[in-house]
Amino acid sequence: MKSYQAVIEMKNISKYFGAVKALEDVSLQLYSQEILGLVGDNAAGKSTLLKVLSGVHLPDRGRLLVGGNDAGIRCPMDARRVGIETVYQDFMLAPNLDVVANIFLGRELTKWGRLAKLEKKGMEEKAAKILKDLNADLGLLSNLVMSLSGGQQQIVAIARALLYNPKVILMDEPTASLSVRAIEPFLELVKNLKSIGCSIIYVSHRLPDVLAIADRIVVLRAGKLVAEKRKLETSLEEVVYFMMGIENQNQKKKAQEN
Amino acid sequence: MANFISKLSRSVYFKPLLFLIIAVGIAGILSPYFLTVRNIRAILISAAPLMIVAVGEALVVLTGMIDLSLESVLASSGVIIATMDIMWQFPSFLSIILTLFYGGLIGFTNGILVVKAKIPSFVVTLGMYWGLRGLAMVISQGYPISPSSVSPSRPFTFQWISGNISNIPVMVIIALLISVFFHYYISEFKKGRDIYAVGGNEIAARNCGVNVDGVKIFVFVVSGILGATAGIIMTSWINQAYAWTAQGLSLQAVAAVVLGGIPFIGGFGTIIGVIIGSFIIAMISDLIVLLGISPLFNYIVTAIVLVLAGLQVRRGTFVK
Repeated sequence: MKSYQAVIEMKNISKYFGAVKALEDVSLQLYSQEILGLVGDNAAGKSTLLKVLSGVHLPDRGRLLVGGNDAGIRCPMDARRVGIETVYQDFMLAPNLDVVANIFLGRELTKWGRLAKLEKKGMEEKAAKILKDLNADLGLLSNLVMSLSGGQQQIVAIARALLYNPKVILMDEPTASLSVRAIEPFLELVKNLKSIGCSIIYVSHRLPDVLAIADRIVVLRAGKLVAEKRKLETSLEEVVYFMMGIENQNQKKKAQEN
Repeated sequence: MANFISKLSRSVYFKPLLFLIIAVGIAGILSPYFLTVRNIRAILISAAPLMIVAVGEALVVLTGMIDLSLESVLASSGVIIATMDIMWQFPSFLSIILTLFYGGLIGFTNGILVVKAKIPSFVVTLGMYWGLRGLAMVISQGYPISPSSVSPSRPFTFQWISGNISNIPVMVIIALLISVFFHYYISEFKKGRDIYAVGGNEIAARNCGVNVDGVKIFVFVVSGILGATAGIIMTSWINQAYAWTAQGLSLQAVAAVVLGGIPFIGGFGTIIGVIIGSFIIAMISDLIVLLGISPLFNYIVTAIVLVLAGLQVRRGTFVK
């Protein structure tokens, strides 16, 4: 029996940028070990929602609960502290540093207190372990990230997200910088993240990908949550209709005729 | 063996070391006097102030910024410590501490202007370059300050800096200690990792929790303190402080940084490389004298070597 404990609960979240209602009264739960596909047209509010969760934006209204408690997220580091990690579209890597350094970027293992001497060996071992758990082979860990392929850089970004056993990983267009060949193994990898206890919010324009891996799909349109469907109960067609705002049968027919 | 060579060629020390070996080799062939202890000692002495400011410049350039104010920090620090020492007769340790503090304060100001006012480092430090020359002029009234500025004349109390410890010049020892310390510090400590991260991808570094503003202020403060250190050393060595000391040294430091393998966008290279770069620059003027060429050719030769050295940092241009 799967547990339906909500890891994240957004209650009536609104976010305005001047007169623009980027998010309006959005309520959403993310359950344990679930992949939630978040779709919508451009400017539907997907990115804003992720940025609220990752602490980049503060919501103007509404509550954000993590594990049942008020999260108190005010900046990206706060989000990390409560176990919410983000994998960005452009991976946010330092090309001049090696794989280990990128995985530990900003959160290095150190000794000697405030002097903060790097524990290079400890970091190497931990990085190797995470990559092994991901079944990923990046060659030498001392390779600079700039020498890696897009797919390999993606893995570095995910390994970084997994560093401190997160509860939730937010993925913003994670396949946008990948070659077609790299997408299939990546989706496999995302599914495997569930089994190690992560919940994932997956934002993508590539609807077939979302339908392939998501357990549940949420559609945003003009800042509002317009549909929430279990994957088995919906289809690509229906999701597209929700995204475009064509919900009733008559409109559907018209759209098909056109 | 092939493995060893491929490993060596990928090492960050490879290019600067290769450069040094080639440069020393050519110099040794050109002049039989080059590879004498006496001559190497002379080069190290003339290179010491440059090495010290180049370490500061290297830290700033590693983050992708530039510090043009170094030579003026040096000149004004010299005037300040000379005034405190000769005119006000402060105890040696106090005037040294105050001068280093002054350098740090200038660096801090540079850093704050870059980070908080968001003015590009080039502009901020160019302003500081003029401003501190001006400060040095105003304090010294345009005259050199030396032991004979007062009567009866009294030597600088920090004169020992231009002396020797078991025949090794103290200023060379200081320069090498500073170089080794910062080389070790930025390769083994988190602060160094942060410096490289800011040079590599500032946005990612900020996003991952690196205190980017703190890093930028840090490198300017260190650069300022090192500029002041070089100012004290220079004053001791030439036995006077003058507002127009060390003209062009900031750009020489930048040249040493580039020769040492740090590209302008930052993120790559090492302090040891920069030390080698400083050594090569000092070597060029030495060699010109040894070969009996007019010293007027110094700049031209340096220019050619520098531009050739630019070839090795090309990789940096398409990193970002």
